[in-house]
Amino acid sequence: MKNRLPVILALVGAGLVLPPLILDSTWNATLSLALIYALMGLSVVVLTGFVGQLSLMPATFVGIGAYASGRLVTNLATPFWGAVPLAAAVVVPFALVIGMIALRLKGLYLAIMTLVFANVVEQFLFTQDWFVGKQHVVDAPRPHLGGIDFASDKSYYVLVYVAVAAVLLLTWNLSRSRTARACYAVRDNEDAAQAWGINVAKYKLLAFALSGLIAGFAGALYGHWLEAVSTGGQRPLFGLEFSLTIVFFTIVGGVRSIWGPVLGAAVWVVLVKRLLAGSPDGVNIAISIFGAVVLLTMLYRPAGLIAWIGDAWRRLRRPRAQVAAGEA
Amino acid sequence: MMLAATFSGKLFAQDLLNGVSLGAVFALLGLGVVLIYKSSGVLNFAHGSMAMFSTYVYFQLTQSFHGMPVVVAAAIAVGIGAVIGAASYLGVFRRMQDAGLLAKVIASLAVAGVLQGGAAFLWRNASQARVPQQFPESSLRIGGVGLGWQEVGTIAITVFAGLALIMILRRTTFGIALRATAQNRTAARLLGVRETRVATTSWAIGGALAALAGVLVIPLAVLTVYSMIGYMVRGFVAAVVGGFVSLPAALAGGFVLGAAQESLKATPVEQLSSVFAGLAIAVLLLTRVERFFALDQELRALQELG
Amino acid sequence: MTTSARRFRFLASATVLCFALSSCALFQRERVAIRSSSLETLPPTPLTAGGTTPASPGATSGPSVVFQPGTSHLLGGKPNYVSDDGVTADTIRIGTIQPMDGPAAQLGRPLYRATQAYVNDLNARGGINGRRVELYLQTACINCEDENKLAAKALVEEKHVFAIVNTYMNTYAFSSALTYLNSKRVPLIQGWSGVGPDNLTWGAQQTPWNVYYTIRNADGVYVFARWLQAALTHWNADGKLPSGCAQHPYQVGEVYLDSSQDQRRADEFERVWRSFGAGYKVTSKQAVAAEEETVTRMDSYVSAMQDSGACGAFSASNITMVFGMQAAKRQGWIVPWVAKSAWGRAATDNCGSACNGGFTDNNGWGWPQIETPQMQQYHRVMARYYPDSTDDAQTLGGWIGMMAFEYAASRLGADLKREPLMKILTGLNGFVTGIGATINSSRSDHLAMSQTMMLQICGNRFYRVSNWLGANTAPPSNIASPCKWGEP
Repeated sequence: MKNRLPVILALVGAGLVLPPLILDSTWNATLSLALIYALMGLSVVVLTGFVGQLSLMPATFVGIGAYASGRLVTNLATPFWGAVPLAAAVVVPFALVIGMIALRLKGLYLAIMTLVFANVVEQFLFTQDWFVGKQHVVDAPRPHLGGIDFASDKSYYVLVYVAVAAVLLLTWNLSRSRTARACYAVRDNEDAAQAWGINVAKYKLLAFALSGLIAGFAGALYGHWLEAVSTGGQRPLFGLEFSLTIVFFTIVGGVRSIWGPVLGAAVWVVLVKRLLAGSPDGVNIAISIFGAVVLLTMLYRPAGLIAWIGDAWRRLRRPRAQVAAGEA
Repeated sequence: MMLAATFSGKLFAQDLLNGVSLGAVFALLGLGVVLIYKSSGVLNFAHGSMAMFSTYVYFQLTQSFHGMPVVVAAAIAVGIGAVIGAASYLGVFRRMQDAGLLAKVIASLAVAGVLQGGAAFLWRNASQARVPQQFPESSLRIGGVGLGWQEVGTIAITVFAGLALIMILRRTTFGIALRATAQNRTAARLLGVRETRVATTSWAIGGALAALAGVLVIPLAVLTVYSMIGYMVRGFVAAVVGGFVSLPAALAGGFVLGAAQESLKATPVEQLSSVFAGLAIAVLLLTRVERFFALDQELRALQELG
Repeated sequence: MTTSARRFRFLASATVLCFALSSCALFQRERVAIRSSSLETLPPTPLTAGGTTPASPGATSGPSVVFQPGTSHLLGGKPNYVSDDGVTADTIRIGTIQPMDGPAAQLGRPLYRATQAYVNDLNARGGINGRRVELYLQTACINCEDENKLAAKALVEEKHVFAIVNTYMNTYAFSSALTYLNSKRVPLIQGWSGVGPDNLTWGAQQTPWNVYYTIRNADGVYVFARWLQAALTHWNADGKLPSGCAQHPYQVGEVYLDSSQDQRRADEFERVWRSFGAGYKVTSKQAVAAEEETVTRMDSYVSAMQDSGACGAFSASNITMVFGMQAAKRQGWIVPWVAKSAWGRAATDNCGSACNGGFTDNNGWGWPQIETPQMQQYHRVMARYYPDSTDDAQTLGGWIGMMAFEYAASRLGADLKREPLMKILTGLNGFVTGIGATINSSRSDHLAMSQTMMLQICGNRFYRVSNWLGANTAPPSNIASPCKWGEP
């Protein structure tokens, strides 16, 4: 680990500094969007990858965070730097409610429950005037700090990068802690974990709380990326489609790795939303191919695309003879 | 939002009737979901997309062949639904028998994605389509309320299909084989049940039921690639009523869900209507309704898979 | 130090840092300024009540313009010119954002085709003052706010377009992109849909930077009211109204989607209707919540209208008309229906005989069978580039948008800047396109059309049953459609 540190720091630094320097505003906006989506996917990883709770409503938590942050800044005159963490915190009670319900439900039923809840919240909560404001669009302005105006895409990219990197780092750290090991035990065999004396309920609730926190944080950053959070067009903005999209690209990337959503979001945002947006039929075809890719991934490499990359990385670093042993 | 300020019995009755016909659609979808789950342990998140794709086929048939009777077009669409269901199983889920729950859910989401993307591309010039009704455009009037013949027909077909399916599961070899597989896969296999054949047939029937739901309900709405998602979610709730294993419960549950949901709209607490499905499922799941329906062995199998 | 200790230290310092940051926020005196618009906001267009006479076409201060897209030759080799982004000596870049997939694809694709065909033809004719026009498409799913914003950014910052044309703005999901485009002062020229005081209430509704040519709400409502009045008179004379209606033929019901836009239209209709006289009443107003209810509850809404004694129906949008008429047929409630902008496939694709006789309008965007040189040119060009396309509200509306753009840009000659462009577009007097209604725009009125044509659905087809009607024009006594004034 020690001798890799300079390399890692260099890569992190490059990610921070290069896009604002060499790419244009639109690409900076695209990459910051990809990072925000990665954070949304991370909330799925924490819940599903770490503790095995299948929740199909990440976008709901993201939405609550987005609207909350916008309303805090616009209507309650909260500075951005306080509004974003607060908005993330606001989501936690919601997540805990779902978590407490999850305690009584197993796998499949939890998935359905979250599906139905996502449907209900999108139709009910996100259409209420007291929540989304009378005009159904919530302004979410970007802050100033010293001389920096974060309304500029490049500055906002730096802000998002730092925020996402921090969250990823904390989560990575967490993923190697004893808490995480307990979570993995719960994920792999809940009854056995219970038998070993692990407080299953505590870890499940913890996972929901953390997942909600991350999703809310991502939502707040998302809201301020948009600068005006609406309730959507003909379909709600933070509805089922968005939730399933997040789950989708996270699985493709790899749901057990914190880098999985980074990869998945990069593919989804950069490829589908950006590169294909210039062609009349690109997106349709891309979605079908994406679906097919997911199918193949599920059939042949359920660990996700990140596993392919992980293998390639390991192959690069170790001599061939050790690869077979390392692949176990 | 109705402008009737006071509770109106007539409105309530009308909404109730509409709710029953809506519930028939939920029940049809729920039946298919239960069948598919019993045979292969997969919760089919692609159910709505299968219905949507088949209904688009129905649309295309009515557009391209003006002479074709609407009922024939609908029948062909239902057949296509069966093919899609069987193909999904043979192509994807047959190899995933021992995969975990998460992988199966994601795989069905992926199938949904493929169907959705495909339909969006194939019918990009008809992204909001309308399809014809199979039944006459008038309605059956009873007293002051009425129900369109399309809705009456939907209810009748659903009841018939549900009862037929229940009979099939009780009496035929296929049905017994399916129930055996659902109870204890290994034992069934040892006893010579051809699991692939049972599952393929189940998926085919499930896909056909989804298509049937689509062609029956979409004439009253607009067909887009997202049309059937809301219905599918409610179909899941119907399936949950029966603990995912009981067909009669799914059938009844769908009707009750629809009736309750709609009739709430005519009451002073009309806001509850949109959250009713959520409340219902919360109550159902938290009271462990599946215990009432699953046999001991099925329950154990459920817990293993869950 | 052990790894777990190191990890703990790291986590602790990270936590402290987080708290420090948040608490800094609490101590910050300076409030984040609510982003103020850098534009002048215009006073809202007073919704002209049906009483005041809107400007009739041609009665304007300046000479009217009959615009036939041809060739423009004002550049003439001028070496020095002043221009904005997107304009070079020989090109003009314009952009369009369309949903090309998903449910809205059948709005986006025809609009894109019409725009692209127009541009192709424009270039074939020599461009605008010798400058070739380049059209850049960005696709964005209509409900995806982030895609809309990225599309707008890509067009403005990467493709450096001069203006954006024919982009569907009438959705909340475009809010973020709209804010961005307004802050960048990029003209939005919409022939087909846009933002005005009639629809979205949020933010920069009507700014100096967008125009959207369609029939004004108040004028449209007046035309519909007059038309419904005529239909009821005819039906009553023929004895075709439901029993009991002969005593009160001018009692009507309204049904509409539960949106602010529809609500306002419905309220305006009620006001106008009642102003016609004592017997003119609106006995029932039904707001339908979003698309789902049109499936399940239309029977209830229609039956409520019927029970209230209504003898006719006004629908403020197409969806409630199509499903409303189907429900009405199911219940055997046969009355005249008039709807706003139901010209589209929803009504003719399998509404069946239920929609027979229903009336709607074309939003002021014209009719494919009008015999004008401009319409013939439209047909020629569309047939050349997109022979499989059909004529509909989107293609005609988009065509009008491009005509306005070509006219305005060509008048500016070599110096092509955005603000003068918008000045022309918001100052059109008696602008006759030969496709849609005459346009009279002003800085406070970007909707600009005061006339529309009535259409009728009969046998799964639309028929044109009137010429251009304004608030002052009476409906004809006879209409050329197999359904006549009512069902055949």
